[in-house]
Amino acid sequence: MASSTNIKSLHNTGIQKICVDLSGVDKENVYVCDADGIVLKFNKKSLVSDEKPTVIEFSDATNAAIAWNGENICVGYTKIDYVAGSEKQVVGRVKGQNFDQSEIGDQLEFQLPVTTVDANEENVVGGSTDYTIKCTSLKDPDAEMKTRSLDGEPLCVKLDPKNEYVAVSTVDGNVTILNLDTFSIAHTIKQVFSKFESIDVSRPLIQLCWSTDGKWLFVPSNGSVKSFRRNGWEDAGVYRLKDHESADFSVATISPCGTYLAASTMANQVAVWNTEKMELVSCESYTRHTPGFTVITSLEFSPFSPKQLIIADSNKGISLFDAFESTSSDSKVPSKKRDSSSAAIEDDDDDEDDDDLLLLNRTTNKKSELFDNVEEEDDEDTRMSSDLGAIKKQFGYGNADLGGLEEFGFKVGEAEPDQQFRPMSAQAPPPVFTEPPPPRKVLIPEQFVCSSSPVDPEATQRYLKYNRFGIVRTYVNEPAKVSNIDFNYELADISLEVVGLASLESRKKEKELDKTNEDIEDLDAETEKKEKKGTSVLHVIPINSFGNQPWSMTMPRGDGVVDVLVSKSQVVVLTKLRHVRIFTIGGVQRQIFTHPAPILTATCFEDRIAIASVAGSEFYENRKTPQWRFEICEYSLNQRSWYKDSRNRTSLGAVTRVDVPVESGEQLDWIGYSSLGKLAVMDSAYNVNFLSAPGLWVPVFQGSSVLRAPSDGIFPVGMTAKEFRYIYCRGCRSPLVAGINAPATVAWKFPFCQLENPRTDMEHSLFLNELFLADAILDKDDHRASEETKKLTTTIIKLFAFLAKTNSDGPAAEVAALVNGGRAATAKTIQSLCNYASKCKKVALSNKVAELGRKLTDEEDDRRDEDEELRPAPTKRIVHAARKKIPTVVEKRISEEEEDEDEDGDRTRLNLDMDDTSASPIPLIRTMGKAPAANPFAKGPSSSSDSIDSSQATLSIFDQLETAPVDNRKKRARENEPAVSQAGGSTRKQAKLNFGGNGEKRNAKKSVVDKENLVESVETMETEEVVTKKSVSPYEMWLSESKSSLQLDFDGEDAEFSKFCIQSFRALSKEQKEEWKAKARAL
Amino acid sequence: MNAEKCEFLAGNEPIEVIPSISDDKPMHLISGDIGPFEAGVPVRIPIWIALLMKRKHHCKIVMPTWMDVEELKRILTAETECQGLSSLPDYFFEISHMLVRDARDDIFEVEAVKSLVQDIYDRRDAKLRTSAIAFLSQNRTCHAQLDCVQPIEVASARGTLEACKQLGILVRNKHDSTPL
Repeated sequence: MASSTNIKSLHNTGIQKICVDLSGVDKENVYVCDADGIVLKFNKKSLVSDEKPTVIEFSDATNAAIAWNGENICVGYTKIDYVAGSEKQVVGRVKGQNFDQSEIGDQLEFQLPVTTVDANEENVVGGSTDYTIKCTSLKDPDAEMKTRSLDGEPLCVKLDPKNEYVAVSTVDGNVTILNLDTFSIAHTIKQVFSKFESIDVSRPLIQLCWSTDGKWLFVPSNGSVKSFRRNGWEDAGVYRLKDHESADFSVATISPCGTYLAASTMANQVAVWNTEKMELVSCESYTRHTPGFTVITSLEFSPFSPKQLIIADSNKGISLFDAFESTSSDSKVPSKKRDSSSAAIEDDDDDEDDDDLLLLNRTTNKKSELFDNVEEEDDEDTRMSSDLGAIKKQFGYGNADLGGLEEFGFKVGEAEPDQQFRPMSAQAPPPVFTEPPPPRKVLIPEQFVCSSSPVDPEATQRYLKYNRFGIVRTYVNEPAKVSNIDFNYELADISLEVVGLASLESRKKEKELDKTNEDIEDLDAETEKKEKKGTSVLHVIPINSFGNQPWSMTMPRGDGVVDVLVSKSQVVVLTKLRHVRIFTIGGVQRQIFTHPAPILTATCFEDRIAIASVAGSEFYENRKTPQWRFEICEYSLNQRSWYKDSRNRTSLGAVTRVDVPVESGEQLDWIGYSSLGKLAVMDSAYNVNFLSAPGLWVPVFQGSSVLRAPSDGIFPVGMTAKEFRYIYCRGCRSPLVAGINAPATVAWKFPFCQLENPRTDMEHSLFLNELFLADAILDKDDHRASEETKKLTTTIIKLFAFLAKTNSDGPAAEVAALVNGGRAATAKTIQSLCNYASKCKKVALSNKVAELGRKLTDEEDDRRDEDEELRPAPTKRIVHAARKKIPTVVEKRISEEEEDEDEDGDRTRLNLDMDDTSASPIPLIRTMGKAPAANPFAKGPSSSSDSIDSSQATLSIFDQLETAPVDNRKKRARENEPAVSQAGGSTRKQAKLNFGGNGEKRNAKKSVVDKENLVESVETMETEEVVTKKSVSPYEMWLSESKSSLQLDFDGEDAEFSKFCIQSFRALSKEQKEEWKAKARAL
Repeated sequence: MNAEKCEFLAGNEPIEVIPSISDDKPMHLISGDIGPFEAGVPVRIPIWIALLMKRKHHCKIVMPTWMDVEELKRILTAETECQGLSSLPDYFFEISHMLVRDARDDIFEVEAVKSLVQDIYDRRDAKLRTSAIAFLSQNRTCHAQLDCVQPIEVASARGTLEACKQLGILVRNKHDSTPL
């Protein structure tokens, strides 16, 4: 029965390589190397008990290639040269098990990762995926490096024990024998195993081994382990498993005594043969009960106990494996085939052989003879800790022959069932409990002070604070003398109004002060007892405030300062107990409260304090390094009204929280406020984001794009309204105090795609303007908002023009849809866009933009309606009331009224107001029975000349623009217009801007519109413009002459009189109306 | 033109300074506007203003990148290896002289800088002398091309060149007056 010890967990999955001391000197340790930078050093205890192995971390990746011979351990790894910015694939030589990186010497250098290494006392040989095999002497440092290129990636290199040859297995299925002296190919054994494409854990690793005398070379292959004789490199026989003809052997190793050959298959069968007797000793199955792909990647005879094998698998497992304790079930599979001639004979005697082997394997004495150095007792004890069978044996249950069988349900005394049908799974060891790894303690990132040099005991001086207001610099080793007080200030902050300094709490300082005070007391016993604790002291120097008296404050013992922040209105101290203490500039203690999380860093601006913390636990994202979620907690404490902001269901009070963006695997490096109070952060990859008004973190600077060398750094100085300032640090992350550091200033730049495209510039500007506008809106700064709106509109027009010119009509229309900024501005902008599109002879685009314009203005109207419903205006009510009865004439009245009110006002606004206050008939007609996307006026067929007249008369600016290229039709339409409409003379219809209005909503109510009304409405609109020419309308003329008689006839309220007048005018016959019109024209 | 005039001309070259004052109003000069100044934010101004401001402690001068010790060493090496004169930044010696004289505290490792600039000057001066002697000692060619000469080097060589010119006149006169 095979058993294994507790399977210990390795660090990483993938190919693992076990390495034992080939010289046999060190029998206490083994090394395991993975492909991810970890080399583990195991001893017997750490392999079988809870003791942890020694972890040796290579800063750069290792490649699961390691070899150990006496004093030398050779490891293949990737070495990154940060100075040259290059990667080197090397085989490093570790002397005396000293894995100090600086002590590792490079022996071999390759172009691509090293896949295999072997070493003996004199030479080291390595193979790489660049198909090369290199060899050099370990004894002679000046020896030349021998190189040989092969036809495939080397899987394994093995030095001949006689130090004459190197055997190399390559993925092309060949084994190449290189002469070590000349490094030429002595022989190539072709097609030994199946070829494959590349080295992978799912493919056989073809780990070769030599017999200890060097006479035989063993090569794992498909179905067997082949042996090749040294003389002539002929196939000298195979070692195979009888019932596993197709077993794909992957790893082979030879015992230190040279008697036993062990090999593992891809199905995790571990077989041991006696090479002298050429017979199978055992065949066991190695099973894991953990999810994931498990295949044995390395196999070595244990140096601790020769009866055991050490097995490492691809699923992080390593264990001691008692392969020799074979049961009878195993013995049915062995077979040996040395020569093809003898194979047939052996096949005939299979049964006899099996029986013999069964006896052989069950005989303990026989097994004990197999080894040179048997450590029975130690091994037994160790094994018993996990082997139930061993425990049973010790207490007299069964014997070695039957104990194993009992475990699998067989009863002693019963006839053995036919071995042919015994399932292989019966050979599997019982499930072994694997202890879960102890929980790892991962510390959160340390607290740091923004915009300061890190504390470095070796640095003579450093920046306590370097922000956009100034610099506070100190000499670490020399006490700074400020205002007659000698203190080592380790914390500082500076603003335009105040400088804050603070010392850290220190037990050492406390002792020194104690000593000093004792001396003073000795000198003068009557001296009053002073504060003698080594507590933090806050020292504040106001610069530009009333009084300007510096003041100091001693913090309570145990609550030392960890950070000090100043703004133009407050001094904030963060303490060890996570207290946030707020002082005024003059030194009045204001608030104190506790921050609920570990303080990472902090900053402040005016009456706001932002404290960054780590939120939650660490998490992992395809990396070994833990990642953190960072959070900023912002406290807004207006000193005059902070207590008015209560925390309730609708309000968060003075506290707001926001998550901080950092790149994958990076940490928060800096937080700060811009000059406008925008929160900005930078991560350790030098990505700067700022919190925009809508709450989005917007990336504005990517430090990696300006770094010239990997060791260079970006030291943030501050953020202004539209720029980011930093100091470029060469070879370090913080600026050197010596010399002058010139801050670089870069405008915000979003990482848009296709930066070289001029269109991107405009898109960039568009986004930037929108952000500025959002800020202005958030600040409720109407003036700035209007300015930013203008800029935004300008950018939109520019981008539209560019897109229109470059025949990108679709994007241009999308950009046109972005126009905003109130009805008038929208209309004006859309009009200009329409003009431009028409000018560019882009009728379709013009059409589309016109449609957009209508939609946008409709939306504006809806919005305005909603607003006005909330605060109804009297005129609005009147208009709505009138609209129901006699819409068109009232429109005229209203337009006249508005003219009166706003004579010198903006003409466009007048038009728009007119449109707004009444349901203009234009949109009604426009939307009647036609799809809204089409423009019914511009090109649609007209049923009669009247309809043409009316539609032409009501053409909006967009329709006119659309018809601009077809001037003839427009001209003809104008000719057909009634005389009334010509009263406007040269008035351009473009000025009669009538976007949709509330037309769509009101369509249901107004299904029919009188043509005359339409004419009159046009007349009304035109009258607005003509009014400056002092023209008189027929209605006015009629009203002036008939007013007295009308007043006599009217007996209602005064407010209704005008309505009565209008109704009376409408009651006139057509001839009478024409007469009055003629009179009006004559004037 | 002498060295003093060269330096005067070099004074108009722009240089980066870090002002310690803030002034929103730009200064209008004949050569263009400078400013506005914001404390701590680098700005480029002519050297002569930079030096004036420096004397009033209104700014710190940021040394040109070529005035770094490593960079000067590289220039010196290039000058040594180059057969002719190597290309130098405009007004190299004049600017170096002005800054070493008036802005010593803003220069990192000022003595090393001074020494290296002197070395570069000496090396170029030696080349000029050698080539001038070689040129004058032959009589096959009567013209020579000299690239990358600094104004101050032209000024210093002016005496020699004038003398050569006079010599040429004398030789010509001699040839003209010698009877065939």
